[in-house]
Amino acid sequence: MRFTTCQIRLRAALSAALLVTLTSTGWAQQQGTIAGSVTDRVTGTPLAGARITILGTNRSAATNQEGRYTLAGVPVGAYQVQAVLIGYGAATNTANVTAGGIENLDFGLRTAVVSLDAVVVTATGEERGRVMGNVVSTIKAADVVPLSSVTNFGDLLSGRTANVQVLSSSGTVGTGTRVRIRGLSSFSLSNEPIYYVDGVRMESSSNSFSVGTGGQSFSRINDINPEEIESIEIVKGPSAATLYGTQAANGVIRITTKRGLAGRTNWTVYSEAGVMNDNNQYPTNYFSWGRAPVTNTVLQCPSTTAVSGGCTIDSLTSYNVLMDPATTINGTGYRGQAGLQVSGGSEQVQYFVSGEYDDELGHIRLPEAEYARITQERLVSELPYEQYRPNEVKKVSVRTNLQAQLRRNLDVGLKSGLVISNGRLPQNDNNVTGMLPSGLFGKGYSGTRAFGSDWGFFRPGEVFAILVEQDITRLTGSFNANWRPTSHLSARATVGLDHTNLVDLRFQALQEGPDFGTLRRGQKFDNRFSINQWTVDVNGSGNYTLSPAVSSKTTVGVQFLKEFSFGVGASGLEMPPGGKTVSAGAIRSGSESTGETVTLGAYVEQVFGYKDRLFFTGALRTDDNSAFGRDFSAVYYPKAHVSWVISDEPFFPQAIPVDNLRLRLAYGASGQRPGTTDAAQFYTATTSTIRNVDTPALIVGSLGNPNLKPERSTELELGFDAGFLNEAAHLEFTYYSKKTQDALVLRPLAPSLGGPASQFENLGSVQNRGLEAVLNINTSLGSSIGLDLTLSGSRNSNKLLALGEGITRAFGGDQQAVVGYPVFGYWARPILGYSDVNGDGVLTAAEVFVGDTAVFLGYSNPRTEFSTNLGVTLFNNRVRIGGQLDYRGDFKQFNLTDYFRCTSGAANNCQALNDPSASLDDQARTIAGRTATLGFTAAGFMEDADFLKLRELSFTYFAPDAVARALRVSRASFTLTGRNLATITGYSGIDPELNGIGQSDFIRDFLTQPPVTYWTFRVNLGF
Amino acid sequence: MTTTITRDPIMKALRRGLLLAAFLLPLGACSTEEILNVEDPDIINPGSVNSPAGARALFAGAIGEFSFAIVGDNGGTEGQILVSGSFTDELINSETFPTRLEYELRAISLGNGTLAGVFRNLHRARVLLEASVPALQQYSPTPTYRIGESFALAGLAYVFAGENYCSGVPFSNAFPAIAYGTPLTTSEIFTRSIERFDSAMVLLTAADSETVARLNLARVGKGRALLNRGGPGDVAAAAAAVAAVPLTFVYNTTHTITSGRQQNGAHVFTWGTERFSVAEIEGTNGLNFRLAGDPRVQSVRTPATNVGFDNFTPQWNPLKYPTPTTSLPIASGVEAKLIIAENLLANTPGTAWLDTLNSLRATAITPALAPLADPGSAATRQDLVMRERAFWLYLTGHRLGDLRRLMRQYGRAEDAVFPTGGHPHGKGTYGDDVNLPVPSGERNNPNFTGCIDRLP
Repeated sequence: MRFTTCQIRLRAALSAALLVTLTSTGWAQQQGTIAGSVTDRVTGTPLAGARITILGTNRSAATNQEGRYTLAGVPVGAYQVQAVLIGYGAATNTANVTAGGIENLDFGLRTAVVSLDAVVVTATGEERGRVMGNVVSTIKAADVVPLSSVTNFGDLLSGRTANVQVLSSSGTVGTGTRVRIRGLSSFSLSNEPIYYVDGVRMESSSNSFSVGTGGQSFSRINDINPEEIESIEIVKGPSAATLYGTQAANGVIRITTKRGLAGRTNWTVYSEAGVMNDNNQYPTNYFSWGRAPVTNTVLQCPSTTAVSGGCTIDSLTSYNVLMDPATTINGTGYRGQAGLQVSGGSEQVQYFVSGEYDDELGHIRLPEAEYARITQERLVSELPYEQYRPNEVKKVSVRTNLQAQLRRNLDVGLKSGLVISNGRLPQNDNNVTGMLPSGLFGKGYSGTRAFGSDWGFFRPGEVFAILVEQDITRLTGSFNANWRPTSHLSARATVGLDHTNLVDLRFQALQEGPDFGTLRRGQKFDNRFSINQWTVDVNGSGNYTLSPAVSSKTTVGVQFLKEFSFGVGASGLEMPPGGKTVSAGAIRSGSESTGETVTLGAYVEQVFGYKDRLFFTGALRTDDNSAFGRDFSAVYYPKAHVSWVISDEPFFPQAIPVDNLRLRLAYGASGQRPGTTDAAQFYTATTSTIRNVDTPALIVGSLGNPNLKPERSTELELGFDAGFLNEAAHLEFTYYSKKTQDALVLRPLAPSLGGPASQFENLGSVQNRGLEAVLNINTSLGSSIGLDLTLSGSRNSNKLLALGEGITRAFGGDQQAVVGYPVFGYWARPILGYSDVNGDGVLTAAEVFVGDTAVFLGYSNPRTEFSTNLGVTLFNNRVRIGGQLDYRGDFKQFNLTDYFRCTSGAANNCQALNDPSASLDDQARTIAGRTATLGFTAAGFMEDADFLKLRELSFTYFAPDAVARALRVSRASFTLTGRNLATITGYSGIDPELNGIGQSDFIRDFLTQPPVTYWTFRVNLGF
Repeated sequence: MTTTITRDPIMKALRRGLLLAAFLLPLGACSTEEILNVEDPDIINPGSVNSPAGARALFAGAIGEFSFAIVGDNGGTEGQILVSGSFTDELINSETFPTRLEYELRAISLGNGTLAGVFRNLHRARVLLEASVPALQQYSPTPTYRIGESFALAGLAYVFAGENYCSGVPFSNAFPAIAYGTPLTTSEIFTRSIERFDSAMVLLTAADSETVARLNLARVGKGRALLNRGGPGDVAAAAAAVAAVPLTFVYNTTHTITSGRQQNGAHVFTWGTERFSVAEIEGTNGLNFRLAGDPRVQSVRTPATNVGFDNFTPQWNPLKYPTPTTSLPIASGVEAKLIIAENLLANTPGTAWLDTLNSLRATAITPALAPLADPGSAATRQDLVMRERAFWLYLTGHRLGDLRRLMRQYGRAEDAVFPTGGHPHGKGTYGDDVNLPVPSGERNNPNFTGCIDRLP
């Protein structure tokens, strides 16, 4: 790890400031105490974890497990005190604090599906939702996880709120998901949001694997253990993410991990076991047997050739090597998980400690016949387990969260999470040594004949001999302190590090695995990385009541972020018998890489409140970043918010049937920095062979752009939140318009310049506009039936507004960025129609009509989405049935799998090509894709991909007290959950969500493992 | 609400504030530039070439870029030789990538991404070779043969551009500042290359073997360029340019397996990744490279049922490049004699041309090849010269230039020269391209709007 002198000084100074903070005492004033309890108004049940806040000050406390709280050291005076808790409406009471006195103040809270006063974690600290001008999306992870046994962070995020699209690229265990919030803003940089865990910036690469699998890779997001999360707050766009500065343009996901509550020790034990099966329908392979016209030579005779007399079809055979029980690689996968969580503490110190072991074994396995063949070939009795089951992820996660109130006005927290995992992935996707490629490109008959094999390229015994593996050790730690020198002034500091140690391996032993190129000579790749994200965030706030009606809060802060990664890679090729290490390779090579970026930001925010119902917020953040060009100075991001709880106004008509109504308006800007070296001019070191001697050499790396600056996104958001039906229902509606300017265009350079292919310039402008709405209902349907329902939906319009002068297209190909059209949209020469002129049921190229130029065919990401999360509780909350339905629409998927099957000589095995009775639609798109004069157009394979998926279905039984007592626990529940249960779609491929390029915004369904069905059983015990 | 604040706590807070300020004071000595200063050891700053070692590293880089551009690498990027071979009748496509199929079928779209890289790599080599000349002159002027070699290889980069691409290739420069070139006609490209060879020869006057080797490289390059330009007197001038080149001369790109980029791409794309196979009478007009039984072009299919990457095209690999470290001849004394023979056929009545070819067959290979008989007519004699060139210079990047010359200089029709009709392995129908287009990416050059023409 390298820091410059000034970076060390900066960290030291901020740490010193923190120390001063910690050793400070508060103001000596005449003081008293407010204490009391918080209960459910209806049931009288004590409510733990409720937050009690003295309005207009920085003082707050949380109720312990008995629902009690104490606010000591409160200056003498009269206060408005508010109690809030997620799932309940806020309650406000008046307290009169006298010197040395104890003011008893109890609260009875009424259930509310969403409260305007819920506390939200923001860039400047905690804030009540009603103050904020932007929509606030919160996922109460601690409530979701036990009832639906999510398998990874993506499952936790998916379908829970509007316009946060979690797109699964594959069903392979351990592979990632891409998250897109409010559309795609950039066509050169990442469109992923950034992540914070307990205030610390987190490494969140969604493609984090340096050795080849063909397309899929691990995602650092899925290192997070959902069981450790208390809540997730999603900041959707620049209007709300301004104070997060450069890199926050795609939104911010803030994860808050669980914390202990004062009270007795609370133990939670959970265990989960399940099975996974691949219930997808893989397409059948066809082979048309025929003869040449003169020689009678036996050959494959596609119907497209037969129709023109090029050959005569004798018979048609078909075979599905992926579905045949004797040959299929699809077995049963297993998932197991066991965890323990302990929390509790005193009023001064609280703790949360958890540990979990998780093992997910993918469903693919070596078929019996293949196992026998390989063991016989190698003269061994058994194969290494990883060659029998090539897909598995095992993970251990441990978390320790402590918070302590060192003084009455000072509390500190220390949080750490450790993840150790090992995962291995199979070969698939765009990969000649992939398993599905061989299955989907196989011949339409069983076994091997003159024309090739039922497994197109290689058999499972060979493919599974390639081991790719990733080991990680990840430690995320943070220290935070909150100091309140007076009841109006507060300071907050967070210092943290997210450190990931990562080892990527790929190994193929001598004379094992696919005989492709030099692979069977043996190879070992060993790449090791250290990835570090440092966060230092310090701010101070002042709360003042300027008049009985007007409140003020001012916050100033600085933030220092440093991303530093370092990697060393080694490879050894041409292994001796038994060789397994890099050093065993006859040809060895090494590489080294470093990436370093520093962001220094400062911000100021001012909030004015009027009668606690009208709020104005203005803020400004400035950033400088090491990746900006040398001729570009700092960037400034402003924001302005208005939040008006109009239902609190005296003039608000009683006739309007709402319990509360808040109008909100937010404008803000944020950015996205270029890559570490995008602005620099440099040479690259390499090696040249000169007269058979390796010679150190320099070649052109980049021509450089000294004016490079961040992409800048501005967003206007307006909407309303309304509670009705006695706060049993809550509707949130938002319109947003986001515009990204100075978009980094990877502008192609004229090849004749002799430089790199392209270089970043700030040329583009991209717009996203849309609507989103969320309806939450939580109510009783009868004496013993309850309903909790979340309906969310959104629709986004994306358009590339401009590129540089004279540039209309940023990149071409199947997906393009063209001015006036959505970025990454699908383009191809369209199939205008076809006509079976002679009525023989078989089309020829002359009977298919294709447009002359490529046209826009559709979005590559869903424009429209609707999600339904429904839970019904029966028998007085004894049983809960829950489920999630997810609809995505108005987009296309490129079925490149079928395009290749129908058009490439490597396959030539689709039905449309071989079977004269195939539908004319299928024949037309096949002919268009195979014919040079029709431009080999893939338009017919860019299909509507709208789908409705039953993603989740769960049944939970909450054991009655008697049963719990019998089990010697205080509470027990049992949950059966199914995942990926059904898909309704018109898409003809295997699954409309796949992406053979992992988490890229270039999307194609290409030989990728589709999602598999999970059934898991979970036990939760508390005591 | 009322609060009472005593004075002491105020002073106490003030003291603490001052203490805090004292701790923060060190930051005053830091500018944001210092805080933001990061160093990336992965990159080399431009100033690093301003030294003798830097100039030599740049020269070495230029040699490597030339090799990469012409020969390709270990399977990801093909060079001019493989493209020329697949476009013509030397190689047949045995894989699946549509962009490679386009140039196999001579139906190339301007947006072909594979060919965009191939075109750019040729210019990367040329630009760095030309940039290495002033760097060597300033920081490492001796031995001069390095500078001569840079000039000569730059000249060959122009030759490949002229032989393989349409008329209208622009030649821009990124150093010392961006300067966009204007399109040159095919003839102008060869003239530009001749200027580079002449510059090399001016410098290569010493008698040591290293210098003479580069001189012969420049001579053969100039002869090749003149042969291609084909203007009045050019063929004779070509023969004169190469007259002094000994038969034993050869200038190779050499290869090691230290990195993928250094490997012989002509080997890897055939033997390794099996994307191209040795062709046999491809598209009616192709030569019988595989079944001629000629020791100059031998190929092997191992195992006997071996198929290419596409899983069905029979995979025949060229024995000329059996390993990834096999050297690849860029210019040679054999080529010099072939230029002389072609000139003799064109300008000297009698059988001197045939004698020259037969002399080559007798002395340039062991065991000697049987002498050729005079086929009798002008056209068949031209065919024979071209066939001899095709076999002697197999898979060295000469074939596309020769087929274009057959059309341009000998008046042959496209469908009598290039592979035509249906593809032998059912991959489509051959198109009409007789050269490679300048990729659409070149339109980012404000001086370029497209090829001047696509004629041979």
